[in-house]
Formats: sequence, structure tokens, C-alpha cells
Amino acid sequence: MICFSKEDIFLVTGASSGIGKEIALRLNSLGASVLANGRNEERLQKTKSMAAHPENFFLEARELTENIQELPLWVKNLKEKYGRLKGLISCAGVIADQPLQVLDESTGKKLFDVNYFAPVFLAKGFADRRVYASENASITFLASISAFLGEKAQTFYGASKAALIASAKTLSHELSPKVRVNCISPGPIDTEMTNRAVEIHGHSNISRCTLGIGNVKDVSALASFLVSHEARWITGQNYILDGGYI
Amino acid sequence: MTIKEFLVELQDSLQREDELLLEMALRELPEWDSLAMMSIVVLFDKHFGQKLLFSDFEKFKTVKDLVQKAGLL
Ligand SMILES: NC(=O)c1ccc[n+]([C@@H]2O[C@H](COP(=O)([O-])OP(=O)(O)OC[C@H]3O[C@@H](n4cnc5c(N)ncnc54)[C@H](OP(=O)(O)O)[C@@H]3O)[C@@H](O)[C@H]2O)c1
Repeated sequence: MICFSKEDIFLVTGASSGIGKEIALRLNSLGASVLANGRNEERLQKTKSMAAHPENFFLEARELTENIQELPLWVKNLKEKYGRLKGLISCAGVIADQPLQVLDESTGKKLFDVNYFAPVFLAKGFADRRVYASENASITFLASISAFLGEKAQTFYGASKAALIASAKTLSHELSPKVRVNCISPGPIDTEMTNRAVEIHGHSNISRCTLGIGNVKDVSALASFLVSHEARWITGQNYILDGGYI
Repeated sequence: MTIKEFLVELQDSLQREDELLLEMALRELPEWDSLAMMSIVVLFDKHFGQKLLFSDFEKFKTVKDLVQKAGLL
């Protein structure tokens, strides 16, 4: 059985929506304290209103791309405010469908800021010896199967996730044995991101999942395992969670 | 953006040699495919802040429909 205490503090980005929201709620329901990040205060409040232990659910709104260089300091300040952090779970992400013929540099750079640079600089802050907890500290990045699939129009999105996976491997080596670093690469999960894609394209790749579309709970189950003591011997891995995508 | 500028932008997004005319039927353009549609989504988002949906494309018949959607006509 996976359980946490309120001294186990997790910073979860993307906690106002979809996968991040579900991970934040699950960790909190398993007893952990959660520092929930997103940009939109209202949506964060909504997440908190669903929390099993709202007294251990704290909202830390921030636009993660505003000052990426300063993100490590932000994480350090969170530690001063709440105590040492057990885990960083980086879920904030954006997608952009851009075929090569309309590929736009500024969109690509913005996308990399959210999907790649911000997570890496959050990791930098977390992996400071003065920040992470002494027992079983871990970083978990939400990547995507788009890193490998080569789907049309995903030049930037796929690359940003592939870059994240590559860096996670490096970090796992740099930070061993103090901090474990892993990635989760989901296939299509029933969230706003996927629903928006269906609205735009009129179809989706859901039919390619032999087990049907994934639920946010399928991702939070793996995430809570990966940050738990049960996963103490797992680092440098990327878990593909795609419902049997073909 | 003028209609003319829009048509040039559209032509460029579709990577089309020849000029586009208002009465041209989109589905008859050799460049018209799923990537072309995605490119138009990007174009509308970038220049007009409009998020086009798949349901919009079902209604677009001619180049003129795109110009109208862009609010230029
Ligand atoms: N859904 C899928 O099928 C799927 C598949 C594979 C991988 N993934 C990955 O899983 C992660 C979560 O996806 P999701 O479907 O849960 O997405 P989502 O519902 O669209 O939520 C995205 C989250 O990221 C936050 N965010 C975006 N830009 C931000 C920024 N600049 N600063 C701070 N926060 C920002 C949003 O916060 P606000 O709303 O408060 O701004 C929101 O909480 C993403 O990294 C995504 O790439 C998703």
C-alpha cells in the first residue's frame, strides 16, 4: 500500500488541470502535502476544493516561463516556506500543432520554454542539497509518446518531450543516489488537451489505443508509485503508458 | 490585413505557385489536405486570434469563405 505523511511535500506543476490536477489530488488523498502550481488561481482553487486533505494542499500560482532563470530560487523559497521537498512532479505543458509549412520560430521557443526549459530549471532548484528531503527524493517529468511517434505537425512538441526525456536520463546520473529522476510518457489521455485536439481535427488517435483512451487516474497511479518508497530502486527510466498504442 | 495580403499569406501557407482567387473551391486545390487545414488553423490563430475547429472546415467551401471567416469581407 502506498501512503505518505504530511511531511512528504510534493511540488506539482500543471495542478490546475488534467493530469497534474489528478496527481496532486491523489498524492494528497494518500496523505502527502501538495504545493499545487498553475497559472490560473481560480482553477487551482477548484482543484483544492476537491482535495481530501485541503489543510495540506497549498496553492502556488506562477507563470513558469516568465523568468526561467529564477525558477530555482522560487523552488528554494518554497522550501523555506514549507520545508524540504520530497518530490517534484512536472506536469505543466502545452501542445502546438504546426505543420512544417507554417512552422513558426516564436511558437517553437515558447513551447520549449514551457515543456523543456521550465521543467529543467525547476529540477535545478529541487536538486539543490538544501532543498530536497533526505529520504527517497524524486523528480518525475510528464513527457509524451509524441517524443517517439513522429506524428504529423508535432515537430516542436515531440522534440520538446524527447529533449526532456534525454535530460532526465542525464539528471538521473548526476543526481544518483540522492534524487531519482524518471519520466512518464502517456498516450492519449482524456483531458482538455486531448479534447481540444479532437475539436480541431475532428478525430483523434484514440482509436489506436487497444485499451481505449486513458484516464488521468491511469497516469496518477503510476506517478504515485514512482514517487513512493516502492520505487526506491527505479531511476533514469521513461515509462510508456499508452493503452497499447498501435 | 487586406484581402490581398490574406490571400498571399494563405498561398504561402499552402505553398502554392499560383495566386488564389476568391471563387476557388478549396477541395479542388491540389494543395488541400490535412496539413493544409492544420496550417490554416495556425494562420487564423496567429493573425486573427481565432481558434478554428473541425466543424468550421465542414462549412468552408471556397477561398471566399475563409476570407469571410477572417472578417475581411
Ligand atoms: N492529455 C494527454 O493526452 C497527454 C498525452 C501525453 C502527454 N501529456 C503531457 O502531460 C502533461 C499534462 O497534460 P494535460 O493533458 O493534463 O494538460 P492540460 O489539461 O492542458 O493542463 C496543462 C497544465 O499546464 C499548466 N501550464 C501550461 N502552461 C503553463 C505555464 N506557462 N506556466 C505554468 N503552468 C502552465 C496549466 O496551468 P493553467 O491552466 O493554470 O495555466 C495546466 O495546469 C503535459 O506536459 C502534456 O504534454 C498529455
